[in-house]
Amino acid sequence: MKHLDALEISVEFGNQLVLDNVSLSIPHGKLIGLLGPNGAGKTTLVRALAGLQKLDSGHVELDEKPIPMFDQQLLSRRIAYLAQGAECGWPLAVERVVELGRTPYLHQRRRLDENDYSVIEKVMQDADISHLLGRTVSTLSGGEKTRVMLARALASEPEFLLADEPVASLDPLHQLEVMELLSNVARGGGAVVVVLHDLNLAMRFCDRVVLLNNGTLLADDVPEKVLNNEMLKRAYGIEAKFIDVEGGRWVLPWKAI
Amino acid sequence: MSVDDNLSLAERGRASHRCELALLALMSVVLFALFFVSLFVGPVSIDLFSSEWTLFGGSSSVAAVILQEIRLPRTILAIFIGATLGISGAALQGLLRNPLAEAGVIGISGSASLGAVIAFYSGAAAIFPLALPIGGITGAMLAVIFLYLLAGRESSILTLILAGIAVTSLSGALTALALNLSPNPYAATEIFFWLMGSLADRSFEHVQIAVPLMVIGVFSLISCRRGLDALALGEDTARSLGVNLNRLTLRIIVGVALSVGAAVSVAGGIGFVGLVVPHLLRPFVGHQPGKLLLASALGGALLLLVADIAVRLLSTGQELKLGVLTSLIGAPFFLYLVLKTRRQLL
Repeated sequence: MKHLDALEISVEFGNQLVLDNVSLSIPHGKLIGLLGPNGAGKTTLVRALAGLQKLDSGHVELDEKPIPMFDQQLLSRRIAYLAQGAECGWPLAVERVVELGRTPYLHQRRRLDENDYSVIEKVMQDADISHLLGRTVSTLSGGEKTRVMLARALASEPEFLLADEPVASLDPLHQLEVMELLSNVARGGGAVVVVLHDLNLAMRFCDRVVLLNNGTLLADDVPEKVLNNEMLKRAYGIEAKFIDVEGGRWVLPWKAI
Repeated sequence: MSVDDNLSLAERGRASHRCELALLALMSVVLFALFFVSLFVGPVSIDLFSSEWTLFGGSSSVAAVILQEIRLPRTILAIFIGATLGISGAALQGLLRNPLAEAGVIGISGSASLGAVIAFYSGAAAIFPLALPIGGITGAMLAVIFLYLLAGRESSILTLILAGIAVTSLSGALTALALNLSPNPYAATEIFFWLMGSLADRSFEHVQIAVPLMVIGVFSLISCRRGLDALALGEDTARSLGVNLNRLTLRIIVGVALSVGAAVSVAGGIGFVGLVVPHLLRPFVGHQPGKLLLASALGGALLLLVADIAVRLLSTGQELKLGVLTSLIGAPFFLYLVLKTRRQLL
């Protein structure tokens, strides 16, 4: 069984402990929501899982083998990382950006082949950006840009997709679509870790919710067990109202404590 | 080239690839033609159809000597130096994701100039003609080693820029010191003229020293194209796509040092080629930093050869320095780029 594990990892920035002895296991086929207030260490944890963050202690393992022992290109085929508010440094066309997602496979070959293009075509449909073909990324809206970057991440056909706030700038329709897309990736056997701020999206779509606060792991369980008043008070300092609708449970942040 | 809307992605990809190849082929053809134009432009007119001259070996006629020993090395140097300046600019801009970056920015040109100036100032250049290129390349290499130690592994691109500013300031100060302390006013004048940049009176000795190093440098830079494409999406994303950022940065710094160090040591300071050429060519390669490399090498060669021909045609008496001409065109262009970039930021 393929899995990605963080084992007792700690990260310090200066004297500030950003991640304090965090352990986390990410199995295949699950959509995992990573929640927590601003500055809780969510981005650092996601970067650590992607092998991008220098750790002060502990390590991250893929299939029980430490990440630094992997060939960087082979690793890049298995783990995809979608940075928060990802920007493109040059005014590239949308399809050129999505093509970059095939970089992990372009070792010896000079150019993309039919297989690459069919993958690119499919992920562009999945991310609902086919109509943006030929457009320059810098002219797109924030939400469109995010979906282009998501397609780019999916284009490498990863086993693990680590997405840092992919729905933050999306309208409600595209929030739902992106969450459904991520959910489908997980159903298809992949694993998705998604940083979220929306408690309801976490409640509805995630198989598991990991709650971080001040660099420590507060909870790691099914959404119903994590998103309760006690935890929300400890993590966010809020009180919430819970509403049961159509077999689901909805969270309404009610007031600051 | 406009692409039909109902083409598949693969067909679109191939179409834009053909466009890029056509651009490279067109530039190569023009460069080839200008190579011959360059051989026949100069104060002594040489009959194109005369049997007196040959390009390689043989004849000892005046025309043959002028062609072989003056214009051929000058033309070859213009092409290679232009190519290295163009591709170095494109590579640095790709690495720093900044269209204003140039070899000067990370201090390599300045340090190479300092190395050559020391060769002048110490008098070594007068006794031993190879001292000048050796000084330039040493200066560039020292800048590279210094940058690598200072900016180091796992550091951000911003650190590299700041380290580059430090190198530029230091080499500028030391160059000024050399000029200031020069006991011989003629030596100072010589340094001053050399800093302006020129290709006049260069020999095959210069070609032999500089060209092999520039070729190694250019190959080092070309090998970075995939990494630079991925780097368009930022450092983290590029690393997550399997790009080894440390190795990429090192290859670019070494490539730029070798090519620019060699170029500066034989031709002095020729600025702005690495700024103007990539900017003009970027729209033709879909703004892809990797594709821009080879195109900028050809474009730089074209621009510098045209500029050198222009210098020879425009000059009456005192020859206009090539570096002065490129700065006269390049500096306003730099200003225009600054304004344009600023407007995009607002």
